[in-house]
Amino acid sequence: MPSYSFKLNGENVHVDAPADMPLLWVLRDLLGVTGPKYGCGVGVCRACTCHVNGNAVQVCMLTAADVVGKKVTTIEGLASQDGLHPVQQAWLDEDVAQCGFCQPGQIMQAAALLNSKRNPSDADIDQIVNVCRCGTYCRIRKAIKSAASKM
Amino acid sequence: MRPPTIKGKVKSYDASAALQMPGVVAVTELPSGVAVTAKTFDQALKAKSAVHVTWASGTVDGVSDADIDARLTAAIPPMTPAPPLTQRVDATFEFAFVNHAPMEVGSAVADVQAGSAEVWVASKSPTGAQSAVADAVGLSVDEVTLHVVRGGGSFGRRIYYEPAVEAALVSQAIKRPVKLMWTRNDDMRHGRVRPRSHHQLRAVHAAGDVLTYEHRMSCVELDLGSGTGQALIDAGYVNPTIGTAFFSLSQSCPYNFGVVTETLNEVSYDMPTAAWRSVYSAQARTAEEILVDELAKSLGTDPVAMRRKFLKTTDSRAVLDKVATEGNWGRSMSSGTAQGVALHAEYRSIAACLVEIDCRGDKPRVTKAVMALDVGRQVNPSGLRAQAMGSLIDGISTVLLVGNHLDDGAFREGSYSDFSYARQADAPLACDVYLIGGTGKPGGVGELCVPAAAGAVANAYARATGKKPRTFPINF
Repeated sequence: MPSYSFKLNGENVHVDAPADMPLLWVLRDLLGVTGPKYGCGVGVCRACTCHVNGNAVQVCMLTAADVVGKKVTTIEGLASQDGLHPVQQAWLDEDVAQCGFCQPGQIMQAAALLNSKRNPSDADIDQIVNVCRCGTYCRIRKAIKSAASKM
Repeated sequence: MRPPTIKGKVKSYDASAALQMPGVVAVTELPSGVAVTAKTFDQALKAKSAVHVTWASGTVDGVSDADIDARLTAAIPPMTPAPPLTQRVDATFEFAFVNHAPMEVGSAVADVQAGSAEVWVASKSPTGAQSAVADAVGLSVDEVTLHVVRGGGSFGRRIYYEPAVEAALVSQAIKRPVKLMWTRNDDMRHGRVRPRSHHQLRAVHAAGDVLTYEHRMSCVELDLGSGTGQALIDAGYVNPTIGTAFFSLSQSCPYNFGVVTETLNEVSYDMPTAAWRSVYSAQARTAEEILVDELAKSLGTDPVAMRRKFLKTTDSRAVLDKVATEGNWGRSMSSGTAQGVALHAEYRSIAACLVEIDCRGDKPRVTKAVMALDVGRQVNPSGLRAQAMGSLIDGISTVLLVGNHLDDGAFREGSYSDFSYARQADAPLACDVYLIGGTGKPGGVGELCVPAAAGAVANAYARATGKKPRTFPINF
């Protein structure tokens, strides 16, 4: 079985995994990192959204080979030693989460958006297609704007 | 592996290739299909594709939406003729099947041993799940320990507990603890749905008063045999269906519309249905709120003024007035855009919703929403607002965007790609929820706002486009 090395939430990891195993299952079933969620397995619900080198990706659509030598950040690694990421804090302040299942992906998507645009417009926020079945979209929008104002 | 059509059965299967694949532990036949157990979910998924199954037919093979529609239409009794010198407003509505589509697919962990079983499952009816597991593996209820764990929002789906039973059966067969998960395709094609429904409505008016109001609903039989449904069975409500008892207890008209008749006839199909947020009211009261707007037009009245005049209670009027004031009802808007309003009272609570819609683009967009609730004593105001906002998104989704087609015994949609539940770009840019009242016993709110939201969206769509919405979702 091939072996892969990458940086996961700031730590170097080495994992033996089948070459065709989606990174989602490498993270969840082999490495025990369960923040990224399975919702569809085909990249449309986006509950598994993580960062690779700071960009939002759906880890159900990647394999471990795709991230060799790269920095993978899941929701578990978003906060720094100094405290929560501003997006996480905004999520708490706006009381966004309902059931919470999609929220790791929503937060990672929002954080990536704010990496690329400091003050995203409503049209930019509309580009987020992560599904939230509880319908927290209005509070997600408010939280993104609130985080943007503090970053 | 689950069957190609709803409730199909395994005739025979060959797992020899699958059993040779990496990580595979066992292949087990279940009443619902063939389960593959492997060390990781991915290995189980890949081996699943290598199991060759010959399927026996399902329970609704050959049945499509049109066949169901014919029976639903036939199940609606003749409407009462309008007396001479009156005017009548008639409308017929159809609502598609809708999967609950919980983000978290069906899942459970089970460890069945000789003389005992332990199950971990997110369940809304844990005692039902415990009994079902006991029956399935041949234990007494006392021998089954069931741990209720937190689960993803399921909007009615986890009243049922098929994954717990399946996990227990697999664990018993292979003598190991098992974590069982459905795939998204499993959930979309073999999960439960809100029943497809038809509605025939008639309001008769004369000299500015509504004399009679009649709503005949028919739907595919709703399986209420768990949770509230079981409580109704225990209380002796069984005829003609549990659903009709539930319907008669849950439906009431908030308006002084003279002689009110509301009936439900259910048509039986052996397919998996379950209560979906707001149960019958999600369709029945949405249809009624659309009719109220059409009745207002027939009476030459504004929709808010019409509701104000006919609402039965001052509390309802206060909730309506709140959205009309805060939402600036009646403001001048561009052609192709409009406001819509609706109200719903149930669970000892009242909700009103006012939305603005923009129908000028490729697809309609609700751009703004104002909601008001009177739920009695308010325990968690932020949670109350969250329930209203979530119900608004359900209203937008089920009226404009999403449903499930039944094609020859199988559901067409397979994932969130074709089950187009609202995304951020379908949600309003602003949503304000006002809590008023605040005294008396706390009422329910989790399911309260769906009909008000759905009705407001449909009414706004009608006012923006000049079309009468009749089948839902509108973009199906």
